[in-house]
Amino acid sequence: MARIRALEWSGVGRTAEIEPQWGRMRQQEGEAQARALTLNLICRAQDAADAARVAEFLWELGPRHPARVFVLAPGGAGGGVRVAAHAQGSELVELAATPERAASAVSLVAPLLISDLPVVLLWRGGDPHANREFQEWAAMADRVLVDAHRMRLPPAQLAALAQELPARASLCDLTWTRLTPWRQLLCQGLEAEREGSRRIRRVSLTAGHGRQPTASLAATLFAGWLAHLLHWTPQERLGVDALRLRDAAGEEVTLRFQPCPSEERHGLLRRLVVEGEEGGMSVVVQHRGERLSVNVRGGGRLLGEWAGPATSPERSEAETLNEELSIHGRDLLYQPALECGLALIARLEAA
Amino acid sequence: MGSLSTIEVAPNPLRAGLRLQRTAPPCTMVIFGASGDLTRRKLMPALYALARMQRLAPTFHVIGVANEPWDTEQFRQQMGAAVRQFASPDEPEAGDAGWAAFAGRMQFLSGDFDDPGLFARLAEALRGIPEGGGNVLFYLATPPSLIAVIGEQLGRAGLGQFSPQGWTRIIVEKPFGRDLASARGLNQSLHRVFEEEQIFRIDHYLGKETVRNIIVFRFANGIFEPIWNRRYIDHVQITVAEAIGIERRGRYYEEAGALRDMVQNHLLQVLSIVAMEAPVRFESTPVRDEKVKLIHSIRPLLPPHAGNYDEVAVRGQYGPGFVGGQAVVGYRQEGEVAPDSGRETYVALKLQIENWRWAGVPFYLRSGKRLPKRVSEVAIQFKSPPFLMFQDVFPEAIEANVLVIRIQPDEGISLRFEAKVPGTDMRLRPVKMDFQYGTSFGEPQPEAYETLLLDAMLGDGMLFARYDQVEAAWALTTPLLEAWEAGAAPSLPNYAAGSWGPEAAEEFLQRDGRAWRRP
Repeated sequence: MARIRALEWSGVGRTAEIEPQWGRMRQQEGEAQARALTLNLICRAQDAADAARVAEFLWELGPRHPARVFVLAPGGAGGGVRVAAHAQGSELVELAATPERAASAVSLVAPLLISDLPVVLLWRGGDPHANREFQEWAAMADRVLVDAHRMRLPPAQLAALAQELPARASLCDLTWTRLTPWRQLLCQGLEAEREGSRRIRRVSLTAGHGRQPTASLAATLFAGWLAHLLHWTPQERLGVDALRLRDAAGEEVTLRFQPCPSEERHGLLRRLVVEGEEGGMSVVVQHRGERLSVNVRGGGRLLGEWAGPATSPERSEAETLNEELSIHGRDLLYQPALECGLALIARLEAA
Repeated sequence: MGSLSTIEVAPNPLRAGLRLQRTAPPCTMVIFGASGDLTRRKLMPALYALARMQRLAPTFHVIGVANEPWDTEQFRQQMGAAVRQFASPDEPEAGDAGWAAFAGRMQFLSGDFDDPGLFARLAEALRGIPEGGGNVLFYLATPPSLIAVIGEQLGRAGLGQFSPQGWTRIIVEKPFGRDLASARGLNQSLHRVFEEEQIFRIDHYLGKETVRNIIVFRFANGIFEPIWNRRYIDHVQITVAEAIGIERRGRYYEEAGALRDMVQNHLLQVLSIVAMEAPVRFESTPVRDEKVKLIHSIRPLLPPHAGNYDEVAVRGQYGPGFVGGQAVVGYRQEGEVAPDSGRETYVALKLQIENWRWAGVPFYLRSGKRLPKRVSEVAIQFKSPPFLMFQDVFPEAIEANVLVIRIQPDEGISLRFEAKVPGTDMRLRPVKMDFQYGTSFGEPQPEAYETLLLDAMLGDGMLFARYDQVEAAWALTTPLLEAWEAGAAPSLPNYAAGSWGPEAAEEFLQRDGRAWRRP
């Protein structure tokens, strides 16, 4: 927490001692009193080093998402607690939470959660499937955020995980969040051509597949998103990496998953090509340096070429989390995109 | 008005649920009056901000039109200087690579607005931008006297619908007319060339975040609407106060005055949002229908039995005084103002809305220049409790609850209520529960013009005034304007700069047993 403001207090973790510390800090920082918090955020870090890193970027999100933040550092503070208050209102607790002490940590955190504000769990603690500690924390959450790409979770496991959560909690994956600029640029590209999204005939998704036999999670989600919103239904398999689909108007669409030989940017989208009828429009979204760019052609000529938002193609954890924390409630597209994507992959893998 | 046929453009299904911000489709914006103050101060900084945020299509073009002997390069330089001077401090300066790309898609056409040749050249220039997709947005950043002229020329040049494949829209700046007759004339003139759906009458007040938030506050929360009526609300005060004078707009202000400049548009727009019934959907037509209904339900200012407007309206004019510690001149000493001017710089009105929700609840509106500070707010004054059981133990007057929606500055909402002072005695004190936009949301608020320009490009007219709303507002205010302009003015100036307005305005509320808030 090198850059975290100096208004800190350390002690043995007892709920009764933490709340008054915030009160004293708020009195010292006059302006913090006027700050309205918008959420509770619990982050289970992978290890102590990860906890320090996470605390940094969560702290930086404070001005945009004033929150009461709990960073759980396994084996970190030896049972101790560190409390800090942000000049702009966020409040932070760092505490040790080894899997064995999860119940104790939950009992410490639960009374400190601000009532009537959503509880977001950012889980970085390894495979959450059938994980007792994960279940303990997820039980108090309204939203659960995982990073399946980072944790190398197979897509099918994500679908199962969503079913395991309490009914009020929704699951979202930062792999999906990283696709937002891709989706945005494709939308803009298709809008350069009237009715562009209704004339799609071929889609090619290039991603680093690594050791996975078929598409990466990112490509699966992207294909699932297109299929869900454009009402594509799988018809038949075209070799090991392609499917023939049918759109709502009964027209054929070919979907191809292109493996990327390089291990660089493993699992992430590298290139997206969407084409219409022969000689019609085409939209290509791909990396260009550290930005995404889109190239739109129609009627045999270039209609436009432009760069995406000033963000790295992978997007930093702070960026993706910033986007996710802006959403209150369930992401209505993530689950259908995942389910449609899994259905496509199942068809592709069917012998 | 011509036929009602419009080009249907189906929404992109992939936009559903997309988290990133709305982006405009490809289009070309033509600014008439491109050398003027509005273009420099507001339009160009707003367009550049939208471009920086990637809300505009990358193929977005601007054609500036004005009667200046500039070429395209000079226009780009002028606009670059304007963005450097007037863009938000957060905005990168014009001069970076982003600006170069943006400015590279600007053109300039010089000519007189009554010259058909200028419009023939404009049509040719538009045809030379195929990446605009046939979509054209005209912006009339010109004096009101030129609206009809430009509209007619656009019609003659066949630019009322530039391309059958795209949309053509026109944004018209306020003031839209100077009374009911002229507003009707302007509407008729524009309707000869454009469908109503193509016309966007801009009132930048409606683009302010806090004004838009009034709709959310009222209709996205279950607890306020049940008490938003005559049973619980005593009266409503809407204040738009300015600390500045008329700046260098003496000639304009002598013609306009506060009633035309502020009340007929800004204050009535805010009033209609505060008091309208719930629209059936959050869409342009239902929302605008409710706003028009509300203005139609306002009782005419001069009831048939009343002899004059003194019971419902007060006007004032500022004299010399002090604002913010600085000595300032009076209105009559401002440039291009007649030394014996009778023009009002302050207006206070009492409006009665005749419907089931608001019958008997007065709405007090006031707006003035050279008041102590710049503040715009809506104050909902609730009724006192029906029985004060604390009177025996706490004889002091208990203040009624007030809900204040602050439009600017310190945008937010506060609620005043009574609380017990800690201690063994029963003492009460009003406390304030405060929500502030600036501290609850870390994100900067967009400028009103950014919101409104994007809305116009997307074809969303919700925040723009429809012809019938403009005419209804003029129908309400024109009789008062005419009476004031025809009759003898009160002794003016009647308030010192830096005060909260004329004494008559205070007496105006005192007669009703009420008092103006000190915002």
